[in-house]
Amino acid sequence: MFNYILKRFLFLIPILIGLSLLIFIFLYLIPGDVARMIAGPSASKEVVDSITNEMGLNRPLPVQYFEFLTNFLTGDFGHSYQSGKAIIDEIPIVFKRTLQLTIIVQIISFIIGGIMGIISAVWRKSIWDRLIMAISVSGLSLPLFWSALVIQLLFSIYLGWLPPSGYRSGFDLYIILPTLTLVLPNSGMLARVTRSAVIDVMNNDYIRTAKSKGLSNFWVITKHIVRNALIPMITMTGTNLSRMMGGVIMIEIIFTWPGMGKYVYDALLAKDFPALQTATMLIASLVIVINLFVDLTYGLIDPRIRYHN
Amino acid sequence: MRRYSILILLLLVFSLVFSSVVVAEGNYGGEFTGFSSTDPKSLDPAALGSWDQAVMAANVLEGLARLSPSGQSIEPGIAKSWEVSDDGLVWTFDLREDAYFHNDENITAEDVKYSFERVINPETRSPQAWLFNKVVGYSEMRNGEAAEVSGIRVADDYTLEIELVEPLTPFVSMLASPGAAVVSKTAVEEYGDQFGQNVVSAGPFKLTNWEQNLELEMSAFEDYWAGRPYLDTLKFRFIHDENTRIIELLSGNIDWAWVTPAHHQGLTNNSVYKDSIYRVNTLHVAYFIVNMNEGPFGNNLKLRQAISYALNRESVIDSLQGRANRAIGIFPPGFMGHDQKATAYEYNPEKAKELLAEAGYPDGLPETYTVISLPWANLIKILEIYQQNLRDVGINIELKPVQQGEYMSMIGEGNFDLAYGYRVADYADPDSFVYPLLHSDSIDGGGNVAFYSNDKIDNLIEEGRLETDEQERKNIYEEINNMVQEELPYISTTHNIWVDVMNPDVRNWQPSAMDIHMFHRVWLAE
Repeated sequence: MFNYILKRFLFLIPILIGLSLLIFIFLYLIPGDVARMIAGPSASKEVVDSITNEMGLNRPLPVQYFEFLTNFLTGDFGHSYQSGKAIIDEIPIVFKRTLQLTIIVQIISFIIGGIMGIISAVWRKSIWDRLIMAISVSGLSLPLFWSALVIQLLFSIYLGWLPPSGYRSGFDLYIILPTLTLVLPNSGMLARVTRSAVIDVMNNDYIRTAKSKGLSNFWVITKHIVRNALIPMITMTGTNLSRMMGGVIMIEIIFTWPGMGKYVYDALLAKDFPALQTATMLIASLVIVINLFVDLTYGLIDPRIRYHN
Repeated sequence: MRRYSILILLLLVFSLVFSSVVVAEGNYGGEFTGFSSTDPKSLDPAALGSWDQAVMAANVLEGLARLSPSGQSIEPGIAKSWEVSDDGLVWTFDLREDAYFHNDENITAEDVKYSFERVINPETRSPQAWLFNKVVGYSEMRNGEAAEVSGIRVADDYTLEIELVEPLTPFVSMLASPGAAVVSKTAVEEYGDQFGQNVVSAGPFKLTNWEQNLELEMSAFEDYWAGRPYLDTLKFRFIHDENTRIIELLSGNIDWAWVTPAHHQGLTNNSVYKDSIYRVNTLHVAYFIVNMNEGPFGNNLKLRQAISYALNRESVIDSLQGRANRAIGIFPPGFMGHDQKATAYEYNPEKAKELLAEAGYPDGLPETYTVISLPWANLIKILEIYQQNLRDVGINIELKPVQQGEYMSMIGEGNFDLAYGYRVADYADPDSFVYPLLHSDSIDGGGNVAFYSNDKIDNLIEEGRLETDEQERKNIYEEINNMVQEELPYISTTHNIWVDVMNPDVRNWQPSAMDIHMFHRVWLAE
């Protein structure tokens, strides 16, 4: 088991190097002259050229890439073009905010989606099943910008209960509306996955055995069914989690949640290369690590899965 | 002695004006929350690049002169007056003795010199350095040949002389830009890299708190030379989404929002807000850019005229709910140089077809031409109307929206036949439109994106920079405008009207034609 984990971790190195190359090339391919963007439209050519020179933008591409890679590995992420601040000082602040939102959304979605999925599966084809599935399908298919708008109008203007957008550190009222908006599709998706997983498990022989040995319905569901249905639920949560890590850009913008998504969006508009490179590298690495952890948790949940050397 | 009596008289007038203003107006105190679409990242005058920064910066920064709240004219700032030598080359600024930095240091001519040289210094890499490019000694410092700018001279503690290489009447308008603000040398040295986030200047508000990507808070500067602002606190929240701003306004969390087209009707009919909607003609012009170096349009005036006649500008203005003025040339209505008598190119598709035939294309242009533009959804809707207008007369265009960076590169390199663009004045003077757009010195990076070169216009622009008489200048800019309408290197379409909405308790608000909104005189009713 230990060897397996070690091997998986070592394998991350070539993946991350390949990733850095891809990110570098893609960012380089974004059209437009960075120096001109920094200098502004009124600046003379002379100013633009001196910025190009100073930033080393006229050096050969491989040289720029290796500098980026070595800097990244040594933890020197450079300074943002926009703020002039060290990126290593900026990213933790915005990342923490995205992480906060992401984790809360995932926990709530996991609980709500899980419960909805189990109810649907156990009382299959009942009115509850139909109702729950209708809700989850709508939650899944509503466009985020639309549900965000409706939620803002409902809670902030008509009811006047909650602030429509913004952020305060710690757990403040501000987190409720973006959470609600994101829980809709996330729990919807999870409910569907859970339902089919539970139905799958219920068709197994050992469930019939458990029932016939006299276990109550409640115990059958909690001990046997749910435990076995956890794998697809965790996979789904892992996927949701890594998807959200990148910052749910649209939600962060609509709710002015100043997290990673907003940071990447601003950096992209300003062609702030150091900030973009670092942020995308970080997000991509996180997605890979999350997936690795999801893989490893399977072994903890399902005794049939054992990792051999 | 006579000089003194004039001074005393001036002081009297000033004190009368100010005391009456103070008596006539209202409450001190309170907090106002505005918006900005993004975090400005830095308010260092030397680092200002975009409009978003200038909106906030102008309330913190102050230079020798400042922009009036209307944005159309210049007021004294740290310099209480200035005069220009007869040859137009030497400007002498008489500084106030009671102007202070936010850290309570008294401002002297030495500080102004330091601040200007800091922006010019190539090591600062300031996008604002161009403001001083007509100052004697500018090039020497840019090239690293001199450690200071010989044309900026401290005569005594409160007198500064600036010598220019050529007369430049709009120079003082340039000095009113946030980029030419004075900064405290001790603060620059104290904060180093962090100065942009801890700016110490001399504007009516000082920075008090800045939460990254969230909001910026300023508070009243008690020792501001023109008296402290009415507001205690001025906040800007960074809200990118236009719709979210309106929702925040309606729920009472912010006091100011730009009115989106989608909310325009609702707000103008809203009983609470209908009297708190403000409009101002901005110093903005939108146009088709013709690449005068190449392509069929650059070489053929009749084709350009055909385009101008084919455009139904009124229908676009209707689609914008009337939030734009029709352009007749480059200067917006109410601004020097605007001339109703210039060739207006009233919508006339028949005339456009005739011109096409005269140009040798009786059946329309055989090819389809690409028009590059910025990728904004509202802009594309407008361009689609123009596209249909042009198709109706036999000119087929294809729209190619590209991101800003790519757009700037393509335009800068002349990689286009036609493009759609706009210009916002950098300083409140007609020169800010014509010098970058039309002077041949501005080709290749200076803003003359049509690659247009005309000796007569060059001469007129230079005359305008020399002339000090208002009426003479007006004639010059009207003449330039007429020539632009005859030659059409830029086929102008519309001028934007800024529409915003305020919390109904806000008093004395005046949106700025320069989009640089000043809050010094804004106050709140109960």
